[in-house]
Amino acid sequence: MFSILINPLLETLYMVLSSAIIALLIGFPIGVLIYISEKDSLWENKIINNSLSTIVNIGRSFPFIILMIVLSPLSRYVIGTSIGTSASIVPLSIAAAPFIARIVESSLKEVSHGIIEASLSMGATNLQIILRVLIPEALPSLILGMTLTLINLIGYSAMAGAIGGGGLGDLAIRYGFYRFQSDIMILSVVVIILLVQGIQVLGNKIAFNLLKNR
Amino acid sequence: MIKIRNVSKVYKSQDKRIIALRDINLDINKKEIFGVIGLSGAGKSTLIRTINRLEEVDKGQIIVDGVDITSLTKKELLNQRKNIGMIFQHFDLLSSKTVFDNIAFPLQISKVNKQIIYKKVNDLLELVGLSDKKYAYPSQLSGGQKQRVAIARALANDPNLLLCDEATSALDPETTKSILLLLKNLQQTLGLTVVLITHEMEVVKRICDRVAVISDGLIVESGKVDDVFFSPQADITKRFIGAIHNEDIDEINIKLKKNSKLVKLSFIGDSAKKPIISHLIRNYKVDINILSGNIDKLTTTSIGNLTIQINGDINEINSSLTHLSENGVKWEVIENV
Repeated sequence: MFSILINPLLETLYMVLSSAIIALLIGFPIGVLIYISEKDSLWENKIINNSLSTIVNIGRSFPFIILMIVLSPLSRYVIGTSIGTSASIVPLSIAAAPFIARIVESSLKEVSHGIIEASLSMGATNLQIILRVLIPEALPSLILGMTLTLINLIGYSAMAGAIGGGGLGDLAIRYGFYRFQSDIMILSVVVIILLVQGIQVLGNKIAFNLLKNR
Repeated sequence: MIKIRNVSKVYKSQDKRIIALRDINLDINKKEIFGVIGLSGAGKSTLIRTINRLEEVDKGQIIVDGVDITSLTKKELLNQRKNIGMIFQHFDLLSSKTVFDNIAFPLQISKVNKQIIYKKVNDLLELVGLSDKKYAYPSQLSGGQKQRVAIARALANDPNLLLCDEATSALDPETTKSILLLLKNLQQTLGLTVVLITHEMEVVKRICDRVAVISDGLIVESGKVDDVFFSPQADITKRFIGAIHNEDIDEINIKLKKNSKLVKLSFIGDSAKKPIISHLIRNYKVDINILSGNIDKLTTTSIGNLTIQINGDINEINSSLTHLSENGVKWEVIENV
């Protein structure tokens, strides 16, 4: 019975990890841009700040299930098909990117203004401040934010079963719910719980280690 | 070294205009410690930040070593800032980096060679007396140690100008003394020009050569520290000096007898060495009661202050006051009965 879990588990991990990476690549720079374009920040720019902020808000407003349907043409264009595990990576990434952007923005905001001012007084460029001051100082908070994102993505990926995405959520619905195999449903839910728990514990541990000396 | 010319700055928010600096003019000499003292909100923080352009001015010029800071391009400004060190009230060290890496940071962003950085940082650690804390994190240090790291960091690029923004305001009196001593020593050994802002006259008294008093965005008084201490002109200056003596006349709370005056005497240099009071009692028909006294040790001279109650015949009192003036003692009648 456990062997039935292996493929769905791998599919879930594949969906979650690859969409997290893609979402990070999109969301991280957007979050940094929103932060530095804020008033009195390093690169104040009202237009960029307002437009990025609006885009992020719109992205975060879509219910995931609607996002999957709306984005199916994009999946077909990028992946070549609009159904399947790989195809679901597209809506998953797009759903997580604005979330990451906000997390990055709020983590960077926690860095004290004094530290930024001190770096400016040393003649640091904006890029040096972002890479060598803001990100290292905000790293524990960023790690915890990424943990949150990964857990959200596990939840979303279960829904992705609806477009044939596979994974543990799909297993729970098809075997457990439709075929009345409660044991399989329970088992898949337990595996999801373990996965969530594992990621949270790992994230906390990394953040704790980073904070240990500070 | 620094010429500040007609500098004005206004902060505008939606419904308010706050004037931070009003037409400021100051000259700061090479290799002196120049203090700017003011209450919070007086504009002193804004003023010191215009020198490395962390704050832009609305009007006026700031010339440091012949370079007009206000007209530099962004890139030139970044290079210029490397010649100006700065330390802050809350130290502002990077919490994610060790003491070593904090001090190395300004050198890293200037793309200095690794071996040179290593040697330089070790020298700086020695200079501020923290060689044993090389691999500690800022959170493991005391306030005074953090400020020492910040000083080392500010000096990493060999600046000839050091700006101190309330550098001792978050420290206890003992630590304040040791940090001021360190600053004074560094200023002398490295030939630095130091500009510091503070709200404590104590700091000015201990290390400054000259001082400017700022109030409501305006320089109300400036000059050599001993002159300002000996004969303060503006009310705010008198209050700053009074504050370090804990002399609130109300607190003395004395009932003056008839025919007496409450007088504050100030002695400077030589006049402090003469037995003036006993001379007065012996030669004039007056009684003198000493209420409070103190001596300010400044960097160049000492200034003594004495608050006395003097009573007797009005003519005798007046002649004794004249005698004081003739002997270089400044006096001020605080209360008459």
